[in-house]
Amino acid sequence: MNTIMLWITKHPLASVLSVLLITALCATQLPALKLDTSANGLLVQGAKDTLFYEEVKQTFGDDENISVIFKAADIFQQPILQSIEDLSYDLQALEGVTRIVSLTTVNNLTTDQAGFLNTDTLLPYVPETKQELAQIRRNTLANELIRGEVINATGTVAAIQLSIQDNVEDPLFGKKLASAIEVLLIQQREKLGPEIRLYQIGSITIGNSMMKSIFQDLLLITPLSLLVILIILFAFFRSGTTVILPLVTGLLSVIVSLGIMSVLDFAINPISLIVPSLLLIIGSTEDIHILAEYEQGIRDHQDKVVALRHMAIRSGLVIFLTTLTTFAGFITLSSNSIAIVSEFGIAAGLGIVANFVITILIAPPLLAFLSVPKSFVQPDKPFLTKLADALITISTKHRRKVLAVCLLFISASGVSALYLQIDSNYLLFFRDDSPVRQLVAEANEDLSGANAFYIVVDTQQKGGLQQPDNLAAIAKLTDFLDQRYATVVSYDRFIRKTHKEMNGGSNDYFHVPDSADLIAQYTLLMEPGTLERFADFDFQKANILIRLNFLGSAQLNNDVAEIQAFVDHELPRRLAVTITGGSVLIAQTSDQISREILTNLALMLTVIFFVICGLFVSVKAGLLAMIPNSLPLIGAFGAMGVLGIPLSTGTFPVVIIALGIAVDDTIHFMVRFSKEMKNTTNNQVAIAQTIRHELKPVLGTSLALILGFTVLMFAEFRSIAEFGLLSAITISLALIADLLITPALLLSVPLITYWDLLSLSMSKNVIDNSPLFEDMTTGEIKRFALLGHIEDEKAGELIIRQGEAGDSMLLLLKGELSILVENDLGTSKKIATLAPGQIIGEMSLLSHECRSASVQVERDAQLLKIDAHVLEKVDRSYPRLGIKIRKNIARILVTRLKTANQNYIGALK
Amino acid sequence: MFNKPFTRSFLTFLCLYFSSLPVYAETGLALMQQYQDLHQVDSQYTRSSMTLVNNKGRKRERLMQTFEKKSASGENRSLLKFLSPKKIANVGLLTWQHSGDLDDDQWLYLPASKRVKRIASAGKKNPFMGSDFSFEDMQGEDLQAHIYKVLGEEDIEGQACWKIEALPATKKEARASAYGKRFIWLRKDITYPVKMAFYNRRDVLMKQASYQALEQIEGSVWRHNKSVMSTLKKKTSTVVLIKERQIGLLIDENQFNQQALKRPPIAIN
Repeated sequence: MNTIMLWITKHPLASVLSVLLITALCATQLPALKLDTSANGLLVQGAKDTLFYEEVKQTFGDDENISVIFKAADIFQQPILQSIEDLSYDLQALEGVTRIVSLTTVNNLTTDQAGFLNTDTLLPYVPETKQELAQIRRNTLANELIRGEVINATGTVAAIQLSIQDNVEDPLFGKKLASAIEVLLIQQREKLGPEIRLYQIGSITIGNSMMKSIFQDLLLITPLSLLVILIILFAFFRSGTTVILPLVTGLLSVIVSLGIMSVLDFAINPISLIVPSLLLIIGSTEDIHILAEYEQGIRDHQDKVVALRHMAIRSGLVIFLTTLTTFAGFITLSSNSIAIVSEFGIAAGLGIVANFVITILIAPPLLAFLSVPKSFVQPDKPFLTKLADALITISTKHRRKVLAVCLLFISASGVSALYLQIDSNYLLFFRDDSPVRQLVAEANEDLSGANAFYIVVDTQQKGGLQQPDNLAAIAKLTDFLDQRYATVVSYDRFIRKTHKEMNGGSNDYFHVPDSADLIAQYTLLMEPGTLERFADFDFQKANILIRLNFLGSAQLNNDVAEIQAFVDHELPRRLAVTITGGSVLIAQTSDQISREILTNLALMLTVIFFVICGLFVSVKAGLLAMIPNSLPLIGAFGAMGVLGIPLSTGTFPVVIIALGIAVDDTIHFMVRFSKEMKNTTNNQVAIAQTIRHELKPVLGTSLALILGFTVLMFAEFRSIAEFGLLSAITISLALIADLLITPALLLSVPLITYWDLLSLSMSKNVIDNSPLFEDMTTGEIKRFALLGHIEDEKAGELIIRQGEAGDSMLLLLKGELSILVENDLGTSKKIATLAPGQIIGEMSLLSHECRSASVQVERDAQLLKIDAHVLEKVDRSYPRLGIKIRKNIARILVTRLKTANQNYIGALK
Repeated sequence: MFNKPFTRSFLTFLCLYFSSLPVYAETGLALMQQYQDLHQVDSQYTRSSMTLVNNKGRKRERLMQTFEKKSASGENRSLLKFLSPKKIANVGLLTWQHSGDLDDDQWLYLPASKRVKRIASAGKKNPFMGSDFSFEDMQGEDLQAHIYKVLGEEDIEGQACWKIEALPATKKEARASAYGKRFIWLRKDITYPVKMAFYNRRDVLMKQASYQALEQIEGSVWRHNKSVMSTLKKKTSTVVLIKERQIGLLIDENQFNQQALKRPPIAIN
């Protein structure tokens, strides 16, 4: 990694050119990028349920609906009825309208006073006289098949119901249709005057407003929030560089990621829409960390080139690690069964990688080009130093208190998280006072039915629908539904109604007749356009249409479950019942996304756990990282529970972003800490150093992001505002976790990174032959060796002087040493040379004795210095290893004693 | 649009004005009258199939027989009975057509209920037994209720035809009919319709009918043995094929009452 980073600092032109080339290449793909603003993205393409739904729409027509609603003191006035007739004709002619149901299209099957059967339409013509109008009013309100769907029970609200076939090819379809309808409504409003209220409502209209609000917010609020972030960064670091670098790398990464999405044929949808902001956020955090290393380099060396090298070496590895972990986290989302979520995971994961590549390629040349920020050479603001000191005091002196508070907070959040609801209510995505919410509230009060779904009953045999027992079972289901919903339209109700009217209009006959032939004969009287909506061509399947108010996913899913339970208990097994419809499927998917996000988060945390375990060769390190990583998540869920914000398709990205940022900060902190630990054996010193280094970048980026997200709270769209609020909360928590809890935790666990292990060049010869390592595994040897300090010594240096006090032992890793013994006259005599693997000074280590001989470097040597602190640390962290080491030292001493004895005996002889 | 007296009289004026122009020797009404006169019979029996074709091309076939007779008062009476499928066999519809402002009398018989039900008003624009034909399509032309105008000459399937426009002439007709306008193509040589186009009250083309397999029955009398009615937006159609036809049959007036409606279909020959 260092080699790559150094290469980049040496070849700025090539790096910049390659980035520009990649970006240009990706930019060419941008025009092909698709935009999918419909909620249809929430339909799982190719899934069984979706295919079934598509088939149902083919057979029974579209469930997508727009209602045109008239409201007046009395609907039965000539101008209103005329207007309904006019609109029914005009709306029918609009592109995408497949069917119209209104007072002027419905049939009115009744028995009149003379006992004659009337099969005519309700309004063959628009009546003019008072008597006629009163008669129509009576007929209409008496007809149970008409009431509810196109007129309310009191005759004050009428509706024209439009079935809509959505044109998926045209993203503006809904908008065009809604405005075409509005043009017609404006004409009618002029004719009708202000007394009569006339408006349209439907899922397409709402979806339309939703997309309009989202995009408006994204176009207005997001740049504003970005601006706030950049201003805060500038104010905090008092340097244009801290603004330019994140902006440049961020924008380039966004272009590249969008290009990649285009190549992968991923559309921009309400979920993947956050990929750019995600990259800007996480990317800017990385950039600030890099800049912090640059600043450190400038402070240490006062030379730009050296500082850049310092930065390259110091930051390359750590941002590689954070990228790896964040990538691993996002890529686990690709396992989500909902395509748009898995696409989001892949796009975000690849985007993070792209951001990494772009950052390491562009940061060094860009910084080389820009002048060194003045603030880098000035001392830090006193408040930063004070804050750092305070944090150091808290984490070292009040470690237990911090951890106790943390535990308390996690428990409290955990408890309030139990109140977390999973619910995507697209209406609640709007603010209470938004025109859409008010319109829906009005419509719900007027005449429920702007929303619809289907229940398909398959009798599994041709003609099965006309079997009296089957149809009676379906009637049972529709009666159950009729109690719950404003409008239930179904084949059995037409048959029951016909049976009633054929028998003089008595309610006693509103049941399914017990003759299959009679059912078939009644069917002849049904208007074919109506029949085909509720029975298929073979009379095998019935379709029940339910019109209802807009419900959130939780309630709709609950309703579906209750209907399913009724079906399971009350209907014969031979009837296959499926509840379907755009709203039902979207509700299912929305909650499935939310539920899966919980498992995905668990998976992401697990992956992150293993990655960190691997990086630090320590399960403890992995567990340790889990606490600051999951704290913001649990906190976010807790906040959602307390604030009553449900986990929805609008809010789930919050927790993912929170995790992404928390992971980055934690890794920066842990890597920094392990580096500091190599320079000192004192945990507290290492923590203090780590806090001093990390405070500025962590605090700076976090503050910028918190304020940036707070700006989102002013968004028009409620779900974006909630998203902003929750993000600000979780990032604050991530900040607290990293500045207080991570240090407190790190004080308990010494960390060694895997990379240190790899970089340690201990020859196999030393490992195999050193008596110090007898009976030890390679892992144990490395773990032990890493606690010591490696020292390089030049030939000729005298590293130990005879007679000096000492408390350390040296293991020769490379080179050659000679042992010199001085006589009383001051002349020294070489008594031995030592090869790699051998140790010296073990007696001083154990008993703090004075050195019994001098040691000089014969050939350039590398030594591992092990002092009493190291042994203590070994004893504390790895007690079994401590015993082994002591055993080996004892063995060496015994051997030495033996040799000495023999020499002594030899001398005596 | 015909509710306003002014519009109506204006239209009448226009029609009169144009029909008085010597562009075409024949007036619309005269041609239609000629058509009725030429092809009129006293009684008729047919056995036919009616095939409903849905928008996916799937078919449902029914067999039916009809008896028609001019009553003593000169009004048309008809009795229709389904022969198959079994479930609807013997479902019958008896119609006493009345000219002028009187509503037609209709009785429906559903054998499974063993009941004859008097129908107050079937509604001319209602579909006939789930087909693309509406009741008004099944009835003969009411010349008094329409204004006919010759629009020109057109070739249909190689045959020279008059293209005649038919508009409702009375308020009653305008209210009862689904059509704001029809075009009728009459073959010039035999004065027999081969094609019709149906427009709704907002002048949108809704349905189209074609009358095929024309046959000269006797003298000047022609009949079509196949008719196809298509509903354009729904993409459905109904095909009626005449399997058997007899003309000038001696049918008793008693064949056209409620008792006859309940009786099983009469086998002819």
